[in-house]
Amino acid sequence: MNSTLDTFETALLAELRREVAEHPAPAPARRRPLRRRLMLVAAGAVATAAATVVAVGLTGGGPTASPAFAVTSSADGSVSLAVYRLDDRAALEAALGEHGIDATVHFVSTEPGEVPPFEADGPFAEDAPGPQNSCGVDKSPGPALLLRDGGTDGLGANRPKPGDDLGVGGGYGLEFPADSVLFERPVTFYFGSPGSMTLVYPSSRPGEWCGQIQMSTAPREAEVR
Amino acid sequence: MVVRPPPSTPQSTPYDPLDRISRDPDALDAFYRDHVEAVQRFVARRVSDPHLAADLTADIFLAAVDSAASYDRSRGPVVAWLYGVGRNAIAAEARRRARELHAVRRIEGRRLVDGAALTRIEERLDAERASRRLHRAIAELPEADRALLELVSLDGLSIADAARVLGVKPATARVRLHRSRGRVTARLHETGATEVPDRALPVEVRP
Repeated sequence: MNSTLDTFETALLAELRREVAEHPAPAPARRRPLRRRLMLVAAGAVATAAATVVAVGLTGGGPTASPAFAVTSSADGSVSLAVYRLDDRAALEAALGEHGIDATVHFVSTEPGEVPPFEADGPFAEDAPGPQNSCGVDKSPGPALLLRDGGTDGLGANRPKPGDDLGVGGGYGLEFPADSVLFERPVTFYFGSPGSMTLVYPSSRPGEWCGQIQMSTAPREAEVR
Repeated sequence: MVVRPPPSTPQSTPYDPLDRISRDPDALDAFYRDHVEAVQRFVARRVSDPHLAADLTADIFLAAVDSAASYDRSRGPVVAWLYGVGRNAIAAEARRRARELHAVRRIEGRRLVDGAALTRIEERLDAERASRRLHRAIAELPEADRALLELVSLDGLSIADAARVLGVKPATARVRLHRSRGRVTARLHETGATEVPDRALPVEVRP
């Protein structure tokens, strides 16, 4: 704390104090838009992840039951997700929320190779990848990366292994890079047949939407790095 | 079962959360006292005119008050965010001058400067002379590289914090810094700097 201000610093402080006293910003609860609030939730979740924090969904059994999903924050701010079984939507939403992703999760029944629902309350944004992309897609493939086995290093011990009874995800996981717009925008996940999921989230342009389809078409590789 | 992260232990300051500074004069007071020296040095590393320095100091604090709600603690310390605000304020000033606009400032910093304070501002400007030479060498880099090297070399942010301010990944930042430091070193030698400040060569950067 600098308690010995010179005349300029003292005069500037007085002007600033008067500015704030005369034009205070409204209290956050009344003014802050939803998106801002969501970002602060993300902030809380990520800031506490000193090194690596793992949320693992264990339902339908005691502590020895195999996890239904794993969500992991890495020190670099990225978050990884693997879903092993379509079990306990609410716990998965909560775990993603703790890691800064405001998620609504749907489990749907689809045939292999069929894309889960891809619907929104308005048109999908269409613009080329780049820094100005309204969906936060700077380069392909976008704000969530589909990773094959062995690519999901962030999951550590929770990484899918050959022989795991994998449901959705089919041995694949999603990684949300630290700069993903999904930490700032609410996202709806539809998990369908193994390896197929869609994500729908708002574009930065009001009224428009973004969608991402994740399909694993290749057979799972047995080898894990 | 969900394994919860450990509870956070936020530093207790009168301006936590930061958006208090935009409505509570006492929170602003504490924030100002903690950061006024850092902001003035940040400015002195970039401009050499004391009156402009006073204006910019006022601009940066006003911009901080206006955008305090944008501070996201997961993206680094307050001072890193404040340097981001400062960069924008200085860029706005450059645009203003480029258009030869003399917009009316909400707080005219230079009006608040008297003799003794002017001397202190000038001392700070003298102390940062070498930094300004570095700043000019950095100014010739492409914009994205420049912003990063400024924040790391000139302002002393960690690579991770600078990367967060600019929204790039730490790995990307390291690559850019490595590329930039060679160019800047060459440029400083060309302009006759006898020794290159250590700060031009961030130690965290590895090829």
